[in-house]
Amino acid sequence: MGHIRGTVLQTPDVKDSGAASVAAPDTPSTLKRIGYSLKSPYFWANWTVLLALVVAVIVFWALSPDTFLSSYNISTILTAAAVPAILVIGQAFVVMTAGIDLSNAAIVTLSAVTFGAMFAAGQPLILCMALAIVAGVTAGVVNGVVIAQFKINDFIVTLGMLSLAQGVALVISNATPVQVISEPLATFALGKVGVFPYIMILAVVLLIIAQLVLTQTRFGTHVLATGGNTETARAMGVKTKAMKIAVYAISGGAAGIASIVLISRIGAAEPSMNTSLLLNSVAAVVLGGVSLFGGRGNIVGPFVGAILLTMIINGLIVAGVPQYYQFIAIGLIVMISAVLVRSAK
Amino acid sequence: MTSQVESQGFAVETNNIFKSYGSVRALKGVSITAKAGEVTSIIGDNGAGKSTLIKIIAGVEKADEGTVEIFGEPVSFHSPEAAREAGIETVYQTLGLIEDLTIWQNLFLKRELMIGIPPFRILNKRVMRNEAVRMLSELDVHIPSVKARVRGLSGGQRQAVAISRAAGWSSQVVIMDEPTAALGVRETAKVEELIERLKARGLAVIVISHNFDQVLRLSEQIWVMRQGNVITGMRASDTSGDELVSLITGATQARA
Amino acid sequence: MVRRSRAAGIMAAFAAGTLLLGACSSDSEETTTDEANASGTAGLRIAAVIKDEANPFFGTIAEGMRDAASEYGVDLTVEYAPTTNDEVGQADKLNTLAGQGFDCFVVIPISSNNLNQGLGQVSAAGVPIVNIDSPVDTEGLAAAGGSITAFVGTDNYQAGVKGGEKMKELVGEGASIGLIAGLAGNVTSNARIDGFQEGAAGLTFVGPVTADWETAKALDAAKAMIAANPDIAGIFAANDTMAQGIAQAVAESGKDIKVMGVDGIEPILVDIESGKVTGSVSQYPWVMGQLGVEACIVAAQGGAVTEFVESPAVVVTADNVADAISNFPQPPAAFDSPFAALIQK
Repeated sequence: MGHIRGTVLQTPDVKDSGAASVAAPDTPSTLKRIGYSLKSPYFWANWTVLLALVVAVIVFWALSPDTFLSSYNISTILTAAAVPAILVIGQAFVVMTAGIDLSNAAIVTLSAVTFGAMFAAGQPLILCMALAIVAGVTAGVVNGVVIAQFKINDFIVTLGMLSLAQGVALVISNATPVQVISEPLATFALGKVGVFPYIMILAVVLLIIAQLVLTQTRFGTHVLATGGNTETARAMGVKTKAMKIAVYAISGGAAGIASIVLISRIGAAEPSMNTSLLLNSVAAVVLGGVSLFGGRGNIVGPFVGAILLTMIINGLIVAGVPQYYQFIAIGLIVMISAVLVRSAK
Repeated sequence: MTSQVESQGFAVETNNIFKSYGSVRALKGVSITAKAGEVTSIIGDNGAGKSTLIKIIAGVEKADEGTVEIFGEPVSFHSPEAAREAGIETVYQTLGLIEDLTIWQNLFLKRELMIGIPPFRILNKRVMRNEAVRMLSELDVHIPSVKARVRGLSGGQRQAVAISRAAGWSSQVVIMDEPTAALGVRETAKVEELIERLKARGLAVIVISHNFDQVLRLSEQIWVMRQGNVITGMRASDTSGDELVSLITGATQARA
Repeated sequence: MVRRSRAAGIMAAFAAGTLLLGACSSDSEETTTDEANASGTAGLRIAAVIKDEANPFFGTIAEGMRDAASEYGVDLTVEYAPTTNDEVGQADKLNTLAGQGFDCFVVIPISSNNLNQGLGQVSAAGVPIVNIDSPVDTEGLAAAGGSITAFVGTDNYQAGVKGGEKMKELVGEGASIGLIAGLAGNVTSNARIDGFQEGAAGLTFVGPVTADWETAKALDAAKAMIAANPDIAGIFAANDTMAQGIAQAVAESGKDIKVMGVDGIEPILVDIESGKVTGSVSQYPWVMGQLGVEACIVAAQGGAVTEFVESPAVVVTADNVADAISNFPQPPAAFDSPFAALIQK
């Protein structure tokens, strides 16, 4: 499929020429194909995280054979992974345009207190949720416009937004948490289908939508083109500024949705920021094989990366490894994966 | 000097183009023409204004003054996309392809074929792949698979893809900036073959090149630029490599 | 090919490393189990989820818990919150442990609601929960289907009152006192600050300003406070880690400003002895940990425990700091556990 079937005019002496006109080789044997894909950087970028996940599952299962793979523990991991997994979907889009969103955890806080303020004012749940998402998207659009329109470094802009969103969150909330005791939200946070918590099902639905948008739409191709080479994409007519604004808006929207899940889990809208969410989202994107230079990657990898990071913490707790080692393990795994992806290039 | 071709109408004609970047005057009243079914070369030393001129024709830059006419119609492109829609395609030396996208994605970038009912339209990948195969084979370009990413291609293969893209969209004018600068002898020959095919299909091809042998081999018309001006234009059959060298060298001396 | 084997090597190293980490930990696990003697408490497994390790107060609580666990020969697992305000991270740790068949849980929640869903599951499984130090919001917990078996903690309001009275005695009527609180809206912090204001009624108050329980933030807040209120005679902090920061700010200002904290952590005792800090309303963190484990044992054995056990607090100043230091981590004065007699050995 996809091979040129036109007449072959050239002798296929590929080795010393590398000419434009290279004959289509015979259909390679399956073995050769596997060999070929093992040498491809794309293979490693895409599969490192899955491989790491499998290794981690085996290691933790060996360490705690009774508990680690119990249905209770699997569903605990999936519950814990939902918030980071939703956030990483947004971060992945941003990183694919060679950007980075350092403000996503602060936007979660901003969205959460927006939700809390509406909830405290007695607004219906659906409105609280909608406004939490609107707040997130708005903050994302501000990020994107400043970055794309004024050509300011994404690192600086989103670092500014980190502080800005946290500050606005403190103003809105008057630095006071709002208890959110809601039957539907509690059901949402606790409910399960088999071992799959509702909140992880939500995350998977978002993942599927995001992956389809990335691979099956014009928008997705243009996001990758913008990240791959902004100047070329612009010369080809891709609206690169609009793409950049859009990915930060997506990241903000993902933060808004994550804030709702977070509130449902802790039963309160808190004005303080959780920095580990930010670090995890960046680490998961790298684990998932998305190039920090943009242009390459998918959403599934980072999503699995987020689950992997959560699972490692869980597995170490279950195995009784002290806290210090948990931090060390996460740090090592992120670095090793980065090296793996890099060395495959 | 251009009287003999004027009567046949030009695919591209620029009239008295001026362009400045801050205090740097890149173009000081440039007028050139290019005919359909011919290769028109623009030569000159670095900084002569060749790239600026083709960027204006391709809609990447806007002229401060002067007009561009395509088949006699005055045009004013606000974007490269507008130029592409008007049938003007450009093969850039550096801004060529997006390495991390596949060949077919590059060929169809910004011209993706869709399927389905709005807003639920998705990429029609199968048709685009088949079309990509057809676009490449029409110019006898042989590449293992259109699903391969550009990053893995050789310089010659990349240029072949870029040229196929430029030629594949019922375009009328193809502009090429140093199409063989980074290529080996054999690959250069292949690209020249492609340029000949474009010409044979009746396209107007504008080439920037530093390779005088190539310019003489390929072109019908040659324009020599120096310091933002067109020094002279001539038919390739009326000149020689020595003359071209002396024109360029003259430019170098004038600068010193 | 070279690349491939390098990648594989790294992967193997990772696997080996993880196995090694795990191996160490499972060894230590076995030794604790071996210590268990054949008493009525043998085989009991208790899990504790407490706050962050950055604050030595919680380290001392953990020490009290471990000492009690080894005294009665029960198996104890302690997990800390990943960071000071990672509410959902702490909840995930509780959820992870909740599925492992522990006989009782000891918890110190970061906020009054963040552990509710996990605790609801613990209660649903009929496992008792002993809440120490910072109270869980019992209404919120009831909504999640859970209940607390016993609470062991200092009456934070009364601790504040004690601090206020001492401060008033030291600075005299009419003096101006700065107040530095912990996380915005935190129940414990509010109770201590409110109690302090009652105990020190008649003095003028500046603030409260929040410093998130952090030393560095308290340092900056105190500096600003001293600059803005040159006549300030004393500063009260809602905990000792913040009092340490304030003491630094006072030392930099060169003024004679009384500094008082709450908790009685080991470093603050040293500071009181050296005169850097005036005093601390010392809780009995070691006792709190001990009581938590003892209450858990009683509850796990099916015994009846008092629902609210007040752990005492005493103001430590230069007068009694020598005793406090020599007894540490045990309290400055003897304290009889109300649970010890209830445990079936």
